[in-house]
Amino acid sequence: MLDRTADNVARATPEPLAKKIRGISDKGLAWLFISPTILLLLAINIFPLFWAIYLSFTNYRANRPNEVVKNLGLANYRRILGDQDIWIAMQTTAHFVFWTILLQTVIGFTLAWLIDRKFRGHAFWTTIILVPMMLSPAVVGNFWRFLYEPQIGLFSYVVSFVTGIPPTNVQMLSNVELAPWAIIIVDTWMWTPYVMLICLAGLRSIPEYIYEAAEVDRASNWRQFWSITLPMALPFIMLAVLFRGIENFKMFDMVNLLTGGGPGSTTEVASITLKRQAFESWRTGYSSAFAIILFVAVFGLANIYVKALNKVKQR
Amino acid sequence: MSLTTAHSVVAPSSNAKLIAGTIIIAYALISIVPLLWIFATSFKTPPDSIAYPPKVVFQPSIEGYCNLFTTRTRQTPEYINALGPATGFCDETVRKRNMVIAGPSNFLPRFVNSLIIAFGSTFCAVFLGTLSAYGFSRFKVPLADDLLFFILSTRFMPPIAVAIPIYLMYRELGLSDTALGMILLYTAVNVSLAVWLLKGFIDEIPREYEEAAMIDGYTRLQAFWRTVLPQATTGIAATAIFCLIFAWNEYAFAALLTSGTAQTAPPFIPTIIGEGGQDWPAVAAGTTIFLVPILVFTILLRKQLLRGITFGAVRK
Amino acid sequence: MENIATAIIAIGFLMLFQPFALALYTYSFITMLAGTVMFIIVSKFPE
Repeated sequence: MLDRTADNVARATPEPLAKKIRGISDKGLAWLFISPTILLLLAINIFPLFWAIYLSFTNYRANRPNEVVKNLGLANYRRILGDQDIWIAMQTTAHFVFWTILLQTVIGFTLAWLIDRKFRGHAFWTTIILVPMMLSPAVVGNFWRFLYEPQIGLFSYVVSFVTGIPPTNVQMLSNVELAPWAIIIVDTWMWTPYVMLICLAGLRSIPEYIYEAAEVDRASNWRQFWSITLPMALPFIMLAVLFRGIENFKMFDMVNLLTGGGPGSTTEVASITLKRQAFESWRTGYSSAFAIILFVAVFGLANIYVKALNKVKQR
Repeated sequence: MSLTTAHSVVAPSSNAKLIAGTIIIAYALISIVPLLWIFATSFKTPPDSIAYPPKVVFQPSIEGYCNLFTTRTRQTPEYINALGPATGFCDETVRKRNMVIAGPSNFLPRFVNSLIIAFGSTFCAVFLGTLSAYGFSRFKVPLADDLLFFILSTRFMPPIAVAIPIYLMYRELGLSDTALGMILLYTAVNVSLAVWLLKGFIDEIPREYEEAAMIDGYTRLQAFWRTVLPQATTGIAATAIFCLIFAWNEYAFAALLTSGTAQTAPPFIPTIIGEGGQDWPAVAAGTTIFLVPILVFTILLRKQLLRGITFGAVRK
Repeated sequence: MENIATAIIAIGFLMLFQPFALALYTYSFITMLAGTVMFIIVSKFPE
């Protein structure tokens, strides 16, 4: 089947061009193969990035394209980095990132450790557990709004059933204290399987003979866990933590649909602030500076992440 | 490594297995409840869906699906009685609520947009990705590591940060709210994953095959086409599914850069409203239809999942 | 050297996220930027 298509392509290609392609050197071919990807990324990612850097030094507003653009120098950066509200948005992000990572790592690692007991049917149940992370955070996040509805929502009902709090008082999304936890719960529900899957790979990469040697030395289970299991799985755990850290630092879709940053600005994580500034207040120059700040933060983490990836790859 | 083989722990006792199994099954069941609830809600009538306490046992109805695909207007009973007999189940159900079907809703076009954009961008990303992956895998490319890092790093850009200049750029180029613009954007995001994953898959194909083919008189290009591509089919298929899932699920770009003609399903589904707030059975119906393909793909992909989410770093 | 650069990026993040002093937040960006640039440079020269 494939062979036939190849023949057709060869036949369909006009003779001189076909000759040209046939005669192409390996080096030429390499660039011919790689350059379309590089060009696309330059056009869709790198060019816009430099545009954003330029805009971040101006007072440009996308809703007033005809106004004279003034160069502000570093003023946008100074304002953002001295702004109390944005600092608070960062703390909201930090709260979200910290708790989601902590919960996901603890639960994810525990689940992986239990699955590694190889009980009967573990493959099937693992697949079931993995389902939430493959789904659209926006579409599922939107549905969680329904589960969180006071009284009629399943989540609120179960909470009030278990704790005895009147069902109308379980206001997960409109209570200032509870809303940050509402988004943490959904994120943990969604992404614990991700951490679990990577931890499982880490646990399974530990060679059996190390445990056998430990058995010979009569090391207790507790000791084996702390001196073999955990350190050997650590590069994998780091990989999962870094990736979830990056993803949750820039989290937008799920939070936007669950709370939209509210009530007030209690769940306004950095990406939500950025969206409000850029696409609601149309302060394009100012929000570009903010975008660059977030980008540098993510890029720093991404560098460390790729290092960690390579470390795991060499295992 | 597939999920079925495990080896690391020295013979766990049957008691340990029992406890582990119980906890895992309990977690799996609890974590799947929200999804089952979406599925159940899609078959409830609107009053059933907002009943207190939440109804677990109910009379199934496809009213949610009817409402998802139609727009309705409220009419007086006299008006409805004057109409001819109902033409179908949906018509009948809607009339019971003193409404008439006014026309099709936007769900179907939005769903089709999702299909076009997801498949279009997946095709482009896998096509470009296969070429680049082969280039990086088989040839000495100067600065290969830097280029590969550059390709991967583009995936980490915060979507909102990218969306600001892209919004301006697309406005200039006339690409705002077009399927072409979205396909280009998703291709750019997906190509990084495609290159990294496919490079791993192609690295695993022994070079000897191509070399043998080239000795037989094939050119490099023919050897690539006839020996490497057929052997990389599994890898290409897995990569394609990963790209498809990303493009299918994406929300941030779609919400900020599309508003009408090119809008995909994720930003549309939350806007489905009935009388007095969200029409939850219709939302659940849309969500169900939207999620089912992903469920199928997840099951197909389960052996490659680990590889996909670690950009090919963890192979087994 | 790479570890130092990683540490600087991590410190930048702590400064960005801490709720104690606005001044630390103000200088977090420049710290992260310095750490990232340093990381890119030193990773070019394997020891």
